[in-house]
Amino acid sequence: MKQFTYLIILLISTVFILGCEDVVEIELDEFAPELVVDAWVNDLPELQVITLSETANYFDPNETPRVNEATVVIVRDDNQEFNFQFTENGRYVYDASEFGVLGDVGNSFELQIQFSGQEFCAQTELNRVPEIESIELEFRDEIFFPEGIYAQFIARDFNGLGDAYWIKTFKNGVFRNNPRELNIAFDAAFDAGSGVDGLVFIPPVRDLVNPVDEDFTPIPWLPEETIKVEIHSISNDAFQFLEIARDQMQNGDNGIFALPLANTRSNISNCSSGELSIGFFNVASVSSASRVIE
Amino acid sequence: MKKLVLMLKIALFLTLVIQMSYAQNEKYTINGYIRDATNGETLIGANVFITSLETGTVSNEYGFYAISLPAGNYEIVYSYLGFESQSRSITLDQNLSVDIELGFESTELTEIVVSSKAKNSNVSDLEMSVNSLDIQTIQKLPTLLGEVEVLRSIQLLPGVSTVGEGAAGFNVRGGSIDQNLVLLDEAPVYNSSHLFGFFSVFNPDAVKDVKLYKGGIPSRYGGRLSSILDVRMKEGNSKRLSLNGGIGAIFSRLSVEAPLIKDKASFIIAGRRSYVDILAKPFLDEDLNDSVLNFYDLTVKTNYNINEKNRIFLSGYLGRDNFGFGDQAGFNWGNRTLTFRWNHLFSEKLFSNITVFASDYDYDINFGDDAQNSFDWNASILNYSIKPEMSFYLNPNNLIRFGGQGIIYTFEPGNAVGVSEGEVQDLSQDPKYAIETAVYIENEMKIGDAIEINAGLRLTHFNYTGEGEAYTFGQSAQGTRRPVTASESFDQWESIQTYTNLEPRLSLKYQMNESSSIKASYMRTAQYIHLISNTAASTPVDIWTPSTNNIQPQLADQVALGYFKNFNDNAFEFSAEVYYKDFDNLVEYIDGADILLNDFIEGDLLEGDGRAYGLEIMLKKNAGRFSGWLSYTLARTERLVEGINNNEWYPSRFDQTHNLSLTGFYEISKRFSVSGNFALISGTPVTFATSRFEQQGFIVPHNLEDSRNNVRIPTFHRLDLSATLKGKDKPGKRWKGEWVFSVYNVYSRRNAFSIFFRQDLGATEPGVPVNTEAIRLSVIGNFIPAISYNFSF
Repeated sequence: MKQFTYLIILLISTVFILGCEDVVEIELDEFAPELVVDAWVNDLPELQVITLSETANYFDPNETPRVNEATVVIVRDDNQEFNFQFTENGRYVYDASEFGVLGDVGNSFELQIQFSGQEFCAQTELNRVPEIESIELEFRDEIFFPEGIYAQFIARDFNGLGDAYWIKTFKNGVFRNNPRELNIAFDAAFDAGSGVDGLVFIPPVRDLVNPVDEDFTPIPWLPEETIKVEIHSISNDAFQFLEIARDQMQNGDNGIFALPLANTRSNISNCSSGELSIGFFNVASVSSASRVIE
Repeated sequence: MKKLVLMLKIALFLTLVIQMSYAQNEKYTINGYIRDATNGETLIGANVFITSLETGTVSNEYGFYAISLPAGNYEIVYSYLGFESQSRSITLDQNLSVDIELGFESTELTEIVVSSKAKNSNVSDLEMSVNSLDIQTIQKLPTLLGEVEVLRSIQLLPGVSTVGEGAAGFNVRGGSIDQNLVLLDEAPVYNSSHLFGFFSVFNPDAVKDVKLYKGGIPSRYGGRLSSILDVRMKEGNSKRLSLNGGIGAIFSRLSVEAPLIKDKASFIIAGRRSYVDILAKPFLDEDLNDSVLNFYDLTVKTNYNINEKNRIFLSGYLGRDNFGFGDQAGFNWGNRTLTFRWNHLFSEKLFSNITVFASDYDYDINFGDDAQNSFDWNASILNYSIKPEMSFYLNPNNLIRFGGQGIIYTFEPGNAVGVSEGEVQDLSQDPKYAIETAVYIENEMKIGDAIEINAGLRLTHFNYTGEGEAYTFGQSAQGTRRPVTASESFDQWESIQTYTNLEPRLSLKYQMNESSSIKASYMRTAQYIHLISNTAASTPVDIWTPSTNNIQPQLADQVALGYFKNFNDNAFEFSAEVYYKDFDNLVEYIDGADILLNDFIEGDLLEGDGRAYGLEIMLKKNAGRFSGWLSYTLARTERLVEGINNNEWYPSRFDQTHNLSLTGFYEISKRFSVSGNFALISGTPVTFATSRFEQQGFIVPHNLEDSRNNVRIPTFHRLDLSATLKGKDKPGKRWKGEWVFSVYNVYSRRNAFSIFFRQDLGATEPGVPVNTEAIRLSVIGNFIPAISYNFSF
C-alpha cells in the first residue's frame, strides 16, 4: 500500500514545499566488502545466470567488484545437481536450453556457493505463475498520464493467499531496471495483509509496465516499439526483499516522509555460522507476453 | 494485589487529611467567577489572595474560585497580570458568592503579557514542568507567512522538540507525537496540523489560553504518556458585539463574538480559509484548472449562564484539508469535535464539570477515471466520551478533585474499495472497538506555609472488544514479520483483551522563601491508543490503533526535580528542571513494515523500551517594554528495540542534544512593537547507508553496521523577526487595525530537515555507472517575508 500513498503525498507536497534540495558532500567510513549473491533464476530453457559480487562504498559509481573464484551449484530436491560455470566478470552460468530446465512448479532447490574457504547456502521453492491473458493498449490523456499510448497487462491471480510476483517489463528487448518501475505484487495487489485474492492484477500494478520519468510520470509508448511483460513467481521472502529494496531505492522521493533506512533481508547464509549474507536466491516460474505498438 | 494495598493506603491518607481539617472551627466559603471586564471572558488562573492569612487560591479552567475560611473580616485581593488588581473587604459570617470583573491596567504602555498568572506563580504554584502561553503572547511572536501559530509557539519552550521544520506534531521530553494529548475544549484532536505540518488546526482568534503539561501531570489528566496540551477556546464576548479578523498570506480569518443575553449568554464563531487555490487558479494549466487545494477550519462556541449554580457550554470544531486533481484524484482529511459542558455548583465548596464530547479524525483518498476503474479509501478514528469532574474546595489547605472518564472508540483502519475493469475488490479492514475508562482522585494540600503537595491516583482500564477477528502471531527471526498462526472471532462488545493500570501521580513544592522554591514530581502514565507511523514526519494517512491482544499499552514513568526563582520583584522568572523518563512497550516497526491496509499489521510491529533525560532552563522577563524568554534544553532520547540497531540503544529521530531559543518583544512606542526569535538546535540523527550492492541491475543501499540513526545532520539555526504597527487609537473609535510585517528565516539559512541518499532513477544499460549522491533537504530554503493585516471591531 505504501507506494501508492507516498505517491499521492509526493504529488501534493511538491506543490507546496517552500524548500529545496542541495547536493552535499558526505564522507562515509570504509568497510570491508562483503559477498553479494545475485541468484534470480527461472524455469525457462535459457541461459541461467548467477552473479557474485561485493559491496562497495555507496558513493562509488563504478560497477561493484566481482567475485570470480567461487563454485556455484544448485541442487534440486531429487538431488539433481546443476553446476554453474564461471565465465567472466562474476558471472556463473548454466545453459538450460542445452542441459534441461531447472525444474517444475513444486520443486525445491538449494543453492550452494563455496568461496574463499566458506560455504553459503540458501533454499527456495518454485512457485506457480498465472498466464498473461493479454497486453492491452489504450490512448490516454489524463492528469497522471500525458497524452499517448499506454499499456496494461491483464492476468489473474490464483485463488489462495500467498502468491507473490515480480512483473518485469522489457522495452525493445531491454529490461527496465528503473527502481521506480520495480513492480511487485502480492496476490494481485500491493502487499501481504490486504486480503485481496484471486483477482485480475489491480490497475496500479497493471499500469506500472509503462516506463516512468524522473517525476514518476508515465512515458507513452511509440509506434513500432515492443513491450514485453514477464511475470515471475517469487517466494514471500523474495517479495519482502524486493519490497525493501524498492522502498529504499525510492526513499529519496519521500522528502520529509522518508522511511527509516532498512536493509534487505537475504535468504542466503553462511552454512556453518548461519550468519545472513547479502543478496537473494529465487527460482521463478515465468509467464510472458509481448506486443508491438501499432 | 500490591497495587490495591497501595491505593487503600493513599485513600486512607487522603481521608485523614480531610478529617483533620474538619476538626477546625466553623467555616464559610467564598466563591465566584473572575472575568475580564471588557468582554466578559472568564480568566483562567487569576489570583485570589487573603491578605491577613497570606493564603489564597487561583481560578480554575472555568474562571471559578472557592476558598473556605473561618468566620471573620477579610481583605481579598483579586489579581491577574496585565489587569488592575481589585480588593474587597468582606465580612464572612455566611457563605458568600463574589463575582469579580477585572479591568486592564492603565499603564503608559500596554505591557506584553508573557505569563497570565499571579506575579510570582512561577515560584508559588505547585505545578512544575508546565508552560502556559496566552494568546496575546502567541500573537506577538514572529510567524511563518504571517500566520499566528499555536503549535509553533510551544516549540519555543524548553523540553519541546520536533523531527524537523514542517513536520506535524511535536515531541515532549522524548515522547513521540502520538504521546501528546491535544485537547481543544476538552475534546482530543487527533491530527493537529493543516498542510502536513506547516500550520496548526487552531484558529488564534478563537483561542484563549494554551497550557502544556510536560511532567507532574495531575491525575485528572490521562490517556497519553508524555504531555497534555490543553487549548481553551474563548467563550465569546458577553458585553458587546465584536469582530476580529485578518488577511494573511495563507489564511483569511474572521471571527464574530457577541452576547446572546448580555452578561448571561454569548457566542463566538471563528473561521479561516486558505486561498492559495484562488490565487493560483489563473496560473494553472487547463488540466489542473479544476484542481482543489484548500484548507479551512471553523470554530464555534456558545455558553449560557443559567444561574449562579449552572452554566453550560457548547463548542465545536470542524477543519478540513482538501486536495483534488480534477475528478481523477482527491485527498482530504480533517478533525471534528463537539463538546458539551455543564458547570454545576453542588454547594459553595463543590464545583463540578461534566463534559460530554465526540471527536473524529478521518481521511479520504480516491482515484479513478470512471466507474469501471476506481479506488476509494477512507479511514477514521471516532470516539465518544463522558467525563465528570468534581472539585471540592474543602478548606484553604485542601482542594480535592475526583472524577472519571469513559471513552468509546471506533477505529476504522481502512475502508478501501477498488474497482478494476468493473470487478469490485473490497480491501477493507475490519473496524476495531475499544472502551477506555478511568477514575481518579487527587488532593492538592498545603502543609504549613512552605509545603504543598498534590497526591493523586488514576486507575485506568482498557477493553479491546469485538466485533472482530483477533489474531495470534507465531515466532520469527528477530526484527522480521511474524506470521499469523490462529484467528478467533469475537462478537460485538465481547472482550478480546483487557488492561488495567494504576497511575500514581505526585507533585511536591517546598517554598524556600518568597522568591524561590524547589519542586519535585513523579508520574506514571499509560497510553492505550497508538499512532502507527513509520516515516520521519507523520503523514495525514497514519492510522490510530488500539492496544490489542498483540499490542500492549505504552507506559512511562517520569521523575522531575526543579528549582524556581524570581527576582527583581518578579520581573524575572527563572526555572531549572531535570527529568528522567522511562518508557515501556513503545511501538516500533520491522524493516519494510506494511502499515496501511494490512489486516496483519500487528505482525509488523515491534515493542521497545525508551529512556529520556535532560535539563531544561528557562529565564523569562515578564514586565516592561522589553520582555521575552530564553529557553535551553540539554537532552537525550533513546530507544531500545529488539531487532533494530543490533539490539543496542539508539537515539530517536527527534533527539536534540542542545535546543536553545531566545524570544524577545520590544515595545518601541504605543503603536509600534517588534519581536524576534532565534533558535539554535543540534542536528537530529538520521541513518546513512554505508554501502551499495548490485542485484538484478538495481543498485540497493545497504548499511553494513545495521545501525539506526547513526549520523547527525548539521546544526539548525534560524532567526525570525516581526514588527507590528497599530493604527492610531482615538477615543470612541472602535475599529482597531494593525499591520504585521514578518520575516521568517531572516538570513536564508537552508537548515537540513534530513540528509538522504539518492540514486539516478531511470533505466540503465548494464555496466553504465549509476550515480549516487547525498541530498540535503531543507523544508524552508529561503527567507520568507510576509505582511498581514489584522483588525478588531
